Amino acid sequence: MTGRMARRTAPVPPLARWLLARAARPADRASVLADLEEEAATRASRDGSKAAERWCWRQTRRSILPLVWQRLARARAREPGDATSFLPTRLWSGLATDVRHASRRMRREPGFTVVAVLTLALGIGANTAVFTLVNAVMLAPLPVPDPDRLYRLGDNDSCCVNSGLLGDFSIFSWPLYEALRDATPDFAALAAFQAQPQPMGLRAASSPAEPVLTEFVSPNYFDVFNVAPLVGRIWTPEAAAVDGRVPIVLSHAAWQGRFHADAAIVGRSMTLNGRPAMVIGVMPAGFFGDTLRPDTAEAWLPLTLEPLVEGRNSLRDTSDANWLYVIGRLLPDASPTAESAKTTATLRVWLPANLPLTSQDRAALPRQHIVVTPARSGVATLRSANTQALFLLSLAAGAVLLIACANLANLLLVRGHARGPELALRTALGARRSRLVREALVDSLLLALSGGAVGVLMAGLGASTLVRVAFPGAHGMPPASATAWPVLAYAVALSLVAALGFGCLPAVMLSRATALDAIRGSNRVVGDRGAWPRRALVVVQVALSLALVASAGLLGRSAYNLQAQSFGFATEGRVMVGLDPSLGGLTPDELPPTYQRLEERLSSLSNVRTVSLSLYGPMVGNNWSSGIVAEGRPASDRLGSSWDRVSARYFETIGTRVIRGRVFDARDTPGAERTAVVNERFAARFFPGQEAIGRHFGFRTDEGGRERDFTVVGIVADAKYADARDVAYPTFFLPFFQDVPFASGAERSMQTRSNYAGDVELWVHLPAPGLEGDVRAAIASVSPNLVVRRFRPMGEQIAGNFTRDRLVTWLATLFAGLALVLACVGLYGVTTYSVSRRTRDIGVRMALGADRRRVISGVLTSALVQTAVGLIIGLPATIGAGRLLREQLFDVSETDAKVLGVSVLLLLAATAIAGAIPARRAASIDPIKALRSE
Amino acid sequence: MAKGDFLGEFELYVLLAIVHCSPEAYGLRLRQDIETRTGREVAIGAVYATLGRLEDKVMIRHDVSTPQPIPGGRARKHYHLTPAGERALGHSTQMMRRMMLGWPTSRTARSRG
Repeated sequence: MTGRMARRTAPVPPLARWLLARAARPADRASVLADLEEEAATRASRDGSKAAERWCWRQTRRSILPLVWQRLARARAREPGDATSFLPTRLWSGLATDVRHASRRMRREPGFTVVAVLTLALGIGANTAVFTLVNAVMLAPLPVPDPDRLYRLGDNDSCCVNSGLLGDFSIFSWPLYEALRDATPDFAALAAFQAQPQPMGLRAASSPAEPVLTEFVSPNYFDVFNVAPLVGRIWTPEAAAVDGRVPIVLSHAAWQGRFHADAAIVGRSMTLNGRPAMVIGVMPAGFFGDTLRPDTAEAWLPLTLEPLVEGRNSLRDTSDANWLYVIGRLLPDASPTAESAKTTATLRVWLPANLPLTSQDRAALPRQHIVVTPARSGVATLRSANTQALFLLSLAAGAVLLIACANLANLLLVRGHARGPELALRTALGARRSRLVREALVDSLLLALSGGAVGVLMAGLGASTLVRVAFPGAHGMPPASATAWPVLAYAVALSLVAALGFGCLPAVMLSRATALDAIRGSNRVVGDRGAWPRRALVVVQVALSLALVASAGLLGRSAYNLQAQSFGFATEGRVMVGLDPSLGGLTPDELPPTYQRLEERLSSLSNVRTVSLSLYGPMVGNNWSSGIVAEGRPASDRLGSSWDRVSARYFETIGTRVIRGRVFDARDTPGAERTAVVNERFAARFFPGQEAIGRHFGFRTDEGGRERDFTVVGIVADAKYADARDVAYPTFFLPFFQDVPFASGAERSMQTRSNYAGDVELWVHLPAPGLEGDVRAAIASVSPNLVVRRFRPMGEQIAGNFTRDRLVTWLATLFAGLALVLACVGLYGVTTYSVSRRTRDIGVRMALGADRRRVISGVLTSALVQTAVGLIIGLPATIGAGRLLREQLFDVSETDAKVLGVSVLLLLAATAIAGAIPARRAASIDPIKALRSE
Repeated sequence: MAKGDFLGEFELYVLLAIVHCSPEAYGLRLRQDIETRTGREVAIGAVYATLGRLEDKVMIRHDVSTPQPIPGGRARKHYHLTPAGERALGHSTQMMRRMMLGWPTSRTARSRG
C-alpha cells in the first residue's frame, strides 16, 4: 500500500479523485481511479504537470454525469446492493418515494388540499403583495444600465429650495454643483437636477396650454444614466437654445399621452410658459428619471437655459439657493468614502469664498459635509415617506401568514390523526421515526410550494391594483411586477419558512404514534393526546386575529377622523382650481389686470357665488413660511409663521370664519397702508394676552427695523393648510401687490413670486353641471397661456391628502378580515374534529339521558373557552400593536375602548358561529348509530 | 427484437474498441482507442458507464488479470465480447452498412473535415 502511495505523484487533484470516487459505482471505483492516475502520469511526463492536471479536471467534469446517470438508471432497475449510496443514504433513499406519496395523498384528498393550498395562498399572497410594493418602492434599481455605479452626493431629502449652511449637504446650488463637478474626476459624469419637478404650461400650436411636469437637469443628465433617446436627440454639452427656442426632451409617457406618440413632434415649435421652445427628443419607455415618485417628470429642460425660461425668478446663478440634487456615475475603481472626503473638502473651501458667512457660520464650517451614498434606486424620497407604512403592512401580512400556518398545522394534525392507525402500524412494523417525520415534512413542503405558487398568482393580480390605490393619479409610476425575481425568491423563501412553520409540530406529534395505538384503534378515545396542541393553535390564531382586527379598527377610525375633522374652512360647494404658478409667463405688471379679469369672468358664470385668488389654497400641499419680527417683542426671539397672499373675498369663499376686525377689500390697494389678516394662533403667539388688531409686524431680514411693515386689521379662525394631523400653524395673510421696499434682491424676488396666484377658489351653488368646462373656458378666455393644473371639489382635494392612510386602512382591514376568517375556520375545524372523535362518547351520554342543550352547551363552551383564552392572550398583543400604530393614528387613542370592545365582540360572535355549527351536529348524533360506529 | 437490443452510438464504439484492443481491452486502452479514432475527447466516466451498461445487457464480460509485475502494479479488468455481444455488434454493423448503401464515403469524410 505504501508503495502505491509513493508512486502516486501523478497530478490528480485530490478533489477530482474524491468526486470520481463518489460518482463511480463501487465495482468500478478502483479501475476508474487507476486509469486516471496512469494516464495522468503519462501526460505529466509528456505535457507537463499543469496540462495533466487540467486534463484530469476535464475528465472528472465530463465523467460525473454519465456515471451518476448510469447508477440512477440501475437504481431504478432495482439493482440490489447498488442504490444511490454516493448520497447520504438517509436523506436520499425514498425521498422521491415520499414526494410521490405526498402528491398522491394531495390528489386523493382534494377537499383538504384545496383548503390547505388556499389558506397558504392567502397568507403567502398577502406577504408577496406587500413585498411587491416594498420591492417596487424601496429595492428595485433604476431601470438604467449598471445602476450600481450610480452614487449621490448627500443622503437626505431637503426639498426644495434651501439656503445657508445645511450641515449635511444633500441639495446644492448651481455654482456649488459646478465646483463639485470640477473637483471630482473620479465620477465619469456628475449630473445636477431639480429636486422637485414643477408644472409649466406647454402649448403646441393653437391648442390651449397644458400643464406638464418639468425638471431642470444639467446637460449631461442622460449621460450619467447612460440612456439614449428613443426618438430625436439629446442636448449637446452646451445645450444652447436653438434659434432662441428652448430644447426640450420628453418622457415616453408624456409623448404617448399628450402627443399620441407622434414622431413628427421632434423639431416642432411650441411655447413653454409663453416662451418659444421645441421638442428635440423623446426618452425610451421605462426611463422615469432620477427618482421613483408618483408624478415623475414629463419633460426635461437644460439647466443652462434656466435663466431664459424663468426670467426674473431664475435661481441658477444664486449661490445661496440650494435646489439641485446631484447624482453621478463613479468610475469602477473609485471609492465612495474617498469621494465623500474629497467633496467635503471642496465644500468647505467653496462656502466661505462664495457665501456671506457670519462669525457663527464660520464656527459651524467644520461641521459642513457631504456623504456620498449609493443611488442605484435613485433619490430616496418615496422610500423615506413610505417606510413606516410599509413596515406596518409587512407586520400585518406576517401575522396573516402566521395565522394561516397555525391553521394549516391544525389541519395537518387532524388529518394525521385520521391516519393514526396507519402510522401506528408502520411504527409497529419497524418504521423509523425520522422516516415518519420526514414524510410529514415532505407533505408540508409540497403544500407550501403549491400554496406559494397560487399566492404569487394572487399577488400578481393584486399588486398592480395595490400600486394604483397607493398612488392614485400616478402617471409615471412604473408597474410593480410580482414576477420580478426578488419577489419570486421572496415567495419561495416564504413558502419554505411556512412549510417548516406549520409542518414541524404535526410531524413530530404524529411520529409519536406507538404500536399500542394500532391495537387500540382510532375511535376509542380516552385521553385525546392531540387535543392540547390543536387548542393551543386556535388560541394563537384568536390572539393574533384580535390584534389585527383591533389595529384595522384603530386605523379605520383614524382615517375617518382625519377626513371628518373640522379643518377651519368649508368643503360644501367649494371648488379648488389649481393654476400653474408661473401663470404662463406673465410679467409682474400684467398680473393685476389679469387677476381682475379672472375674477370678473369667473364671477359671471352661473352657479358661482364668489371667487377668490390665493398664492395657495388650503390642503394643496403648499406652505410658505418666514421668520417674523413683531412690534413689542425682542428681536432675539426667532419665531416664524406661515403666510399666504389672498384676494378680497378669500375667507368668504373658502368659508373661514372672521373672528374680529375686517378682511381685505377695495381699500387695500398697492399704495395704501400695508395690512394683514392673521389667524388666532398667530395672534396668540406674537401678541399674547393683547388685542392684535392695530399691532404691527414684518418679515425678519438682515435689514432690521421691519417690525412696522404690516398692520393687523382682522383675525380669522384657525384653519389647517398643510398638515391635517397637526394643529393649524400660526398664519398671516397679505393682500396681493402690497409690496415692501426690501433692500435685498433675494427678498424682493421672493416677494415678486408670492404675487403669482397658484389657486383660484370658487364657492358655487350645487349642483353645478358643466362647471369645469365653463371654468376652463373662462380662464382660457383671459389668457390662452394660463394653465389649469387641476379642478377639484374641496372634498376631493382633502381626500387626496389621505390616500396613503386609506390604503393602509384598506389593507389592514383586508388582512384583519382574512385573519378572522382563518381563525374561525380553524376553530370550526378543531371543534368539528373533536366532535367526530367523541361521537361514541357523546352517543353514550345521550343514551344515558343527556339532552340536546347539554350537548350543545358542552361543545360550545369548549370552543368559547379557547376563544376567551385567545382574547386574554391577545389583549397585550393588541395593545402592543396599537403602540406601533401610534404615529399613524389621528385623534384616537391606541387603547381606544370602543375599538377594543367592538373587536372583542366581533371575535366572540364569529367564533360562536364557528363553534355552533359542529355543536348542533353533535346534538343530532343518533346514540344507536354512534354506538354502532365501531 | 426487443428495444433494449439496439446499440447506442457510443455502445457501438465501445464494443468495436474491445474488438480492436483485444486481448488488452481494459478501460484506459479503450478510452484511448476511441479517442484516437474519433478525434474527440472521451471521458473515462463515459467509458465505464457504458461498460457497466453493456455488462448488464450481458454483451460483454470481464476477467481480472494478474497484477502487473512492478511495484504497486495493479490488476486490470479485461473485457471480452460475449456471444450475445458479438451478435449485437454484427447485427448493428450490418444494419449500418445496409443503411449506408449509396451514401458516398467521400462526402462523409468531407463533412468530418
